[in-house]
Amino acid sequence: MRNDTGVRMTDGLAERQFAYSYEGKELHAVIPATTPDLAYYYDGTWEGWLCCVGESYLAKEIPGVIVPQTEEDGFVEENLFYTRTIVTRTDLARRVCNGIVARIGADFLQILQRVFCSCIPDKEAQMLLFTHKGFRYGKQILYLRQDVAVKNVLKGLRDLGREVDKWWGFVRFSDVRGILVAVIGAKNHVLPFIAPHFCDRYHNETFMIFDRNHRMALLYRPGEKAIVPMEEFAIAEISEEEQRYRSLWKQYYDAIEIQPRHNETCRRTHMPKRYWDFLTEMTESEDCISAYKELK
Amino acid sequence: MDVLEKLKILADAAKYDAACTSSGLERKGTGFAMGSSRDFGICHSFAGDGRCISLLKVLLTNCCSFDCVYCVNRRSNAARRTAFTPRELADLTWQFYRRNYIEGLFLSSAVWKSPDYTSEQMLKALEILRYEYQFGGYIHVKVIPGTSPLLVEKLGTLADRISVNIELPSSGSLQKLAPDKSKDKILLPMKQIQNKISENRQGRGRFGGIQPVGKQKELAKGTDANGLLYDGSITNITKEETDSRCLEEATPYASQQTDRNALQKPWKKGRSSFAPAGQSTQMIIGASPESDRQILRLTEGLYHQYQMKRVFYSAYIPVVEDSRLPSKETLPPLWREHRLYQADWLLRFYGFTASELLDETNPQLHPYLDPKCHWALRHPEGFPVEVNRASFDELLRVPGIGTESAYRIVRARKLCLLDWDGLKYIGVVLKRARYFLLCKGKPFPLLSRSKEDFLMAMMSPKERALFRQRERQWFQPSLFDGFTTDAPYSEKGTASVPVLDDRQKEALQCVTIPVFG
Repeated sequence: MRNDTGVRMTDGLAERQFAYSYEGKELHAVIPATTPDLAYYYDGTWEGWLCCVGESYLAKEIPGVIVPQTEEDGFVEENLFYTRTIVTRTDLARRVCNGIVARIGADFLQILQRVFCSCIPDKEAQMLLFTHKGFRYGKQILYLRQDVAVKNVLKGLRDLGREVDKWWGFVRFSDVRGILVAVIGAKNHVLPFIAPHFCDRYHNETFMIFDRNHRMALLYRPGEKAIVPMEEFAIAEISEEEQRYRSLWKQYYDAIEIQPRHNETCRRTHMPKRYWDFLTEMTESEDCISAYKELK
Repeated sequence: MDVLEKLKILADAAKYDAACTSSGLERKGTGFAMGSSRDFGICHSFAGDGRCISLLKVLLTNCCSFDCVYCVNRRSNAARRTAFTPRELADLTWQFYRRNYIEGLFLSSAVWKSPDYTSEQMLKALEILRYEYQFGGYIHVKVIPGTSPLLVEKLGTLADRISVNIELPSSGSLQKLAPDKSKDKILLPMKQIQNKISENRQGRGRFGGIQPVGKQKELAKGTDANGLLYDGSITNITKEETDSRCLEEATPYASQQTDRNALQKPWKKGRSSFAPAGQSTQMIIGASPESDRQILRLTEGLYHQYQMKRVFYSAYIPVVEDSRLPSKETLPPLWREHRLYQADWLLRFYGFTASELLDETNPQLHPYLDPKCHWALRHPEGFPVEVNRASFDELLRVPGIGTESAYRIVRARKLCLLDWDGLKYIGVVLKRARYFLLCKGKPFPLLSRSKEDFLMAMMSPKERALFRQRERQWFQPSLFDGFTTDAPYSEKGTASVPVLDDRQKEALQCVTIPVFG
């Protein structure tokens, strides 16, 4: 059965092994079956993961699990898996990278990079399977949402996207001697994805966004930006001017609510409580307004 | 008065404006001192009522010379009055924006002295932001009915979105409740804005002036079938008419403080666009006796004839006691507002027309079923549809399939035939859709077709709770006496309130269940 695009239509192509052929020619190698008791260890970097893909492709095997940890990092615990440590090699990583771009597409690589920054469970193994399928079926794999690996990977993509969306709005800067600083606590590693937005919007400012959960910080000053590891950060003192605007904002936040329409569920749906620690209007108490008045 | 006090009063007075969107315009920050705009809009916080806070929504002043019955700022209402100076407002916006509290400014105002005087003050605030501070963030400005066209034009060149509130869904109600406003005073600036926007579009870009084919058709359809606005009177203000009236009404523009040359220049080099994020409007629901059908027809007319980006509905919240209004104890008709927004989405994204959704025999939206489900139940002849063959438009009309999942189905079925599991992963709400779909020629296996099950599947958990609550009340009146909820259409004082229990009976009895397979 063929449709007008010439692609063979199949029934639940997801997890099944079948000879994928077009006019009698086999297009790609069959995806090897997953070996559930095989574990890959790698160093947790993006290049390291690309090497996992390369090694798995060369060895024609798919590991059941990929762990971001190496023996040098620390003790790899004894387990029931047959383990294999993947050494990160720049040349292999580049080869895989080029292969993905050439054979599947640049946007496919971009999706992988995004998902790599997300926090879905078992993302490395899911992404590996996803990449194998990508090599086999091409870019169309993205529309095959009924496939478990595709579904999981796209879920990671969506999770990250949603959180990035939220942080665009929920980052709260404080002015510390002319420098804008903000602390966030993200589930996914969102900094690389919120950076372009903030660097564009505040291109004349000097600012920093510190991610408390990932211990990373985005630093920017006109013409220069960097994402660097940072252990700890806290705003030491709040100037009078800063306190003034915080109070004003809190005042505005309280005034804008229409009391007869109060809807706590709706608020928490859109602004889950885990964000509240980082929001000026939720952390500042009512006292800040009265304190502000006394100040005057 | 201190800025804090002013902010409290003026934000409080502005909060009944429903719109707080910052979408519809993508603009890079380079070229401005600070600020950019994203086309999807960004919500910066959510107030206790669950509404998004995207813009700094304030009035310039709440000193008002008008006496609109429904409004807190009416002349005859005893309230503390104050006004921002343009400088204060610009500074506040700038500092809030710098801390990423807001996406921009939503400036509205009560009518201070005269519409023109107020608009000039608003204009000054925008000029400080755009010319002096080089602010690139989003600005939404509200036009006061009766403002001279010249000022509207100036406001439009500085703002990103511009809106004129239509206030009430019929001119009769407008006359009754807002005696200082009139249909003409509202529609004229609307038409002017629309003309300016399309003029501007024509002057820009290679394909700027060409409407996409689909849009043209839609517009043509809109004008002959729905050329009715405001109680069936045809409103066709032509461009020539607005232009000539503009000339007549033009008042000399008096703004001495700002540099005249700067005013003539666009606020950014190479950019002279007029309200690039389009225009929107808002009306109050539940303060006047119009039916949902009238409201939807008006909405459709506004989308087609005035090319609105959005029409907002705001459930009437009684703030003042007046014999012309529902009593002060009335709860805001939130469910009705919700239903109207659902219908609004069907008009804009699903290819429905107002007459399809509601007709003379059916003038109100159903309280327990969403408009799409209700439509599908009244049109069993169109169902079931085969997932693997149905066109995109057919899929869109199936309850439980939205625009995104319809698109995904169309993409996914190029690769392989879809089955029920696949549909689930695609994001189709199978609970509803399974009654209207066939997959590979077969209906959903083991589908319960009892009336109750079917009806429950059509309702969301919230609607179900409401329905059951009513059911309990129906059977045990003594237990629930004095039990008030914000049930749909329970607002008093409106003329055509459908009797709830009849509706409920109808929902149970008259619903036809699609049987096939």
